This record gives sequence, C-alpha cells and structure tokens, in this order.
Amino acid sequence: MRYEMAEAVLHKYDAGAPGITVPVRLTAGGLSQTALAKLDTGASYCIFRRGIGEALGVAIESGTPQTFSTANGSFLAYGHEMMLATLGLESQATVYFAHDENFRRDVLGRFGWLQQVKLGLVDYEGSLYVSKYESDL
Amino acid sequence: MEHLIFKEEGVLIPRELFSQPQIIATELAQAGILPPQNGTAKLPLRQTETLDLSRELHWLQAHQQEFVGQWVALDGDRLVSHGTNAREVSAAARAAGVAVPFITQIDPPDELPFGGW
Repeated sequence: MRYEMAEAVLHKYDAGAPGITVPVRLTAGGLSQTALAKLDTGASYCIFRRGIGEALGVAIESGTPQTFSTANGSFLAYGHEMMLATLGLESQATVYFAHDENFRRDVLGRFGWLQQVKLGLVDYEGSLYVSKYESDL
Repeated sequence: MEHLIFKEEGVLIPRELFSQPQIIATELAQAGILPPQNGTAKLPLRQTETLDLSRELHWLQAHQQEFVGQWVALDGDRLVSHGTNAREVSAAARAAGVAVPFITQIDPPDELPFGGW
C-alpha cells in the first residue's frame, strides 16, 4: 500500500554515530533545559538518566516508581509529569528518571512520544521524518 | 511556548496561556502548588519551534574528550559550567543567566555499542 507522510519535519542525524540522536527540551516546575536522547522503538517509555532530572530540579524519588525489565535484569525509575518537546512537537508526558546514577541511557520510547507521532526513517542517509499523529477516524 | 513565571510573591500567568487552563494546571502541579493531575488526562501534542542544537553538537565534537564523565552546561557553543553534579552544573548555568541550558553528561568514547534492552 502506497503511503505519503504530509508536513513532516526532516531531522538529519549522524548515521555514523551510535543510535539515532534527537534534540529534546524538558520543562517542569517553570524550568526548561535541552538535552539529547536516542529514538528507541524498543523502549516502552521515555527514560532518562538521573542527572537530567536533577538538573531540572526534579526530586527523583517523589515520582511514580516503576521497575523496567531488560534482557538481563531490571532497573528502577521514577515517573514525572512534564512537557517534552522534540522535532517541532510538544506534549505533556510521563518521563522516567533512573534511580541509579550509573544508568547511562536517554531514550524516547513509545508512551509519551512515539505513540503521538508518525515516523519515517532512512537510516542509511541519517534522515528522520516526523509529523503529528492524527487519527483518520 | 510561554510558561508560568514563578516568583516569591506568587505565579504570573502569561496572557498567551489564559485560554489554556490545562497547561496552567499542569505547570502548577509540576511546581507542587496543585495536586498532581490524573496521568490519563494528558495535554495533546502540539506544534512548537524546532530545536536547533547544532552549535552544542559542534562544541561536543570538539571538546567532549576534555570532560569525559562530567556534566556540562552549554549555551550554544559556549561552555557555561561543568562538574560531576548535574544539579550544581545546571544551577550554575541558570545563575549565569542561561534560561534554557543544554545539559549533558559526557560518556566515555570507548563505551561499548548499545545492544538494546
């Protein structure tokens, strides 16, 4: 089936670098900051390392605790409601921050981001196309 | 996008947000002034300006090896603060007048490739 993405934002990323890196802006409690995150269709949620939340003034352990499974174990993170902006789109999202300060991943996953957008990817060229998801119904 | 402005005396609501009570309620909840909202009532996705972090990425390419393991706060291609404590690095950047700093931790260059979850 032929399909066309209308009015998509084109984001160019370094196809030679690890992961698909996108710029993000997090806003909570009247403070904003920008950071980098990896697009991760295998992640269920948007999860960042602890320091990203701390830099935003978030009291990490005051959030909703959630244990996430990985291929060889699990880790604990805490969810916080905030505004998440990336690639020209912004929404309220539950963003999780890892409990362990040695956790070194920052990912945009399905709930909070992927489920709200249409995504096109040409990884060989380092081209990511994103537009707002709107139901056809 | 406009945001609520928190001051010692109270909260200033920008005129642009007068017709958007959900955003006002969310930001008041995030600040701990109102109780947290039900997680199911999310604000809808909306269009905003595209973030351009090209100057920050250029700085990282040139200088990241000098700060491996540290947190850095940048304002464009200008290093504002750095250190091992993210909260302190961010606070120093905001104290220097950078309203929306770019914050990142420099990972070791020889880190193994991520194999997925």
